[in-house]
Amino acid sequence: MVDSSSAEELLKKVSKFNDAVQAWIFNPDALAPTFPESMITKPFPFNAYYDLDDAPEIAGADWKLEVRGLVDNKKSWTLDELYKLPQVKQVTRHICVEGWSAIGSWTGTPLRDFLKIIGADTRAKYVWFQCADKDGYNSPLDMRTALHPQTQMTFKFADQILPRAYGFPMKIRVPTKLGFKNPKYVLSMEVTNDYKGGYWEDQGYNSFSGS
Amino acid sequence: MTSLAVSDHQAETATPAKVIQPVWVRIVHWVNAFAMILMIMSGWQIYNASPLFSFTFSHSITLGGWLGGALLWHFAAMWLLMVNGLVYLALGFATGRFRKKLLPITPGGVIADTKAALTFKLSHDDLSKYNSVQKLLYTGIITVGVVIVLSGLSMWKPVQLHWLVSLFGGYDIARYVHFTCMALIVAFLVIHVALALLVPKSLRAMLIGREGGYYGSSQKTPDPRCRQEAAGARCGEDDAGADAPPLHHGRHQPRRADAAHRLRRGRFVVGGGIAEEGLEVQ
Repeated sequence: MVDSSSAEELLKKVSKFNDAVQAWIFNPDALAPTFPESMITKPFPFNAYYDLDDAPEIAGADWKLEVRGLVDNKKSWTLDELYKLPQVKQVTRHICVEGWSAIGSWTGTPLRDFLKIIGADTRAKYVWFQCADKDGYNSPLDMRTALHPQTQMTFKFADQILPRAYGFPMKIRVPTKLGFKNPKYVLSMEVTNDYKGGYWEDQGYNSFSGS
Repeated sequence: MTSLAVSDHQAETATPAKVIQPVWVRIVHWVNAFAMILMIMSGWQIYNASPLFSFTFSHSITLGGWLGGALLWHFAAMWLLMVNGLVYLALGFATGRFRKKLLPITPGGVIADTKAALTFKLSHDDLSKYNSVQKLLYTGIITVGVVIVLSGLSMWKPVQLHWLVSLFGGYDIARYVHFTCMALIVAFLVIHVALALLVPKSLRAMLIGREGGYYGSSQKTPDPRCRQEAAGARCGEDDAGADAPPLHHGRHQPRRADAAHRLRRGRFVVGGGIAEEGLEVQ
């Protein structure tokens, strides 16, 4: 209704201010509540800006996770190599920016362990993910959230290899962020000090969008 | 029996006028009205992205254009709402306004004043005093305001404020609580605006602080009996129902408010009241 450009500029500024406030009040030790498996939402919803038929179909054998930016070891990782890393399971609530939420079970390697393995400069500001979704999906994750103990490189949903709907071969599960900041079909991660924007962030969703 | 304590403000002013709504109340009232409308209209757009019920809000009454835009509005207006709300609560307690204007609320008083209101016999002579129905509604809406902010915060920060989410019984329930509070506020808003229009001098009080727009030397001086609660005396009889300021002040007959004389214009205002009348009866 109101969409004068000055109002829009002001709202963008407030959103940036909100990013700073949220980063400031974010306690990296506060854990997302976990739930018993009996509370898992079935069926767990598929949600994207495209239909399931348009979800990326990735051949696991050909896929490699590309690692870039401020890291010591930039080697790419095959799925088999990643599967060998220690994994943990979490049953947490996925909260969508739209308001709905669902409890799911995700299993994978804590991102902070992986960042350590690749020798990432954890003083950098962001880990930026690029994904295989159509039209190119990407999203920046602030480093403190990337280092949160529950932020996870996810390989399994409900104890099964991640199905196509939920991001095969790898998604980043961030229970302290809204769903749109939980990238699926990840192709690469870049440790960077630059804010490189994101698919939804660029359209106006608050970039921090974390709880 | 009664002693008057004249405030600094009153002492400096040559022709003191009875301030029904002190300036801070008027400011926070209108800032709140503005912020609340932004929150409600953007909230409706956000609701439409994932409706809790089988209806959505018409695009023509929502703010933001789409979910992303509505969220920007919602999370910008929330600062205005929260800061303004905190100022209101802090001053409400600090000035004693809440205690003086909203308490006590008794079931008997509420029933009697509800009956009087429904039969158009409720007195609006003294806008500086709330009737029991007003006390109940204003206290209720302040509580709803606190709950809608807390449920909103718990949806915004469900990890950091997980204890708050638990208090509401979970994230999903917090959404329903947030929606219900919105519905109550909208219902209040409809009644509140309707009554303010029915008693226009209450609206004037919330705009300019006084019942009428007079600032001249003929202004009426405060009536000591205004605060004489126990005696049941009424003040403002002279100008009740009329907009002109009384030229002959101090002729009040301390008559009992009798139903036939109580149908006056005045006083149905949100969060309104005196507090800084500059006149204290001890």
